Amino acid sequence: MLLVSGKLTNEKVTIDDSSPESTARIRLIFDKGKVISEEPASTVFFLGGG
Amino acid sequence: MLSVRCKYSLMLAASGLLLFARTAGPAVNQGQLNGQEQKVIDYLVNDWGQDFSVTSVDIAMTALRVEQSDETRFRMGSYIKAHPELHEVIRRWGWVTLVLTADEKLIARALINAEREGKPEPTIAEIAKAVGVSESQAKRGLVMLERYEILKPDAKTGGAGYTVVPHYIKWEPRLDFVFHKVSLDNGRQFNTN
Repeated sequence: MLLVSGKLTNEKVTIDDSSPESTARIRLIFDKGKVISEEPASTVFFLGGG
Repeated sequence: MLSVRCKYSLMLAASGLLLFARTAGPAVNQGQLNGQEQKVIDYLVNDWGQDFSVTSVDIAMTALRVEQSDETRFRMGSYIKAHPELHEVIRRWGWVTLVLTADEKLIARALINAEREGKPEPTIAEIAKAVGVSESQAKRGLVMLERYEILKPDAKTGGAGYTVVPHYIKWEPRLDFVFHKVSLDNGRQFNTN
């Protein structure tokens, strides 16, 4: 998240991840620091820090 | 002129040295990589730590367009496992983070979560479904996890026929076997911590 909102803020960034409690895959796409796509739609993520 | 006794002593000492050299040899040779594999390791050592990178072997191989096989990945993974002195990232995040693919991590988690929660061990079909891979890929992943001594075969468990080595059951629940793969539009891919 630090990268997405910092060094990579002007880039389109895809993050492939997974739920730590299961084997479910998560894909988030950011463009210029903002989320433009999340799969699955039920994904909960926190943008924080500072 | 050397006495016979002295000659024997010297020969014994020399054979002792040879024995030592032969014993020490395979451990070193086992870790030797071919040129292409060394290139992947060099790429990783240079990449790790940049932008919080904890890039894994498979991603480095893709970046370098090196043909992948389970065997080559295992050779490089074993090298990383045996050489934590290569980079602080190995020591801080552990070799498991760096040598397993995302699929292998999820397969490990499927078994570990079941065991932690006291559920029956999932079958290969159940693992494949949970992770979103084919049964053949699930089997290959299980074999790789066995080779890294994360799983051990155990026919008594039912399911896929493996148990998790106790160390990994107790190992950082919810923080283990995670991955965060970053892909940029310019094609660069890396894992972050």
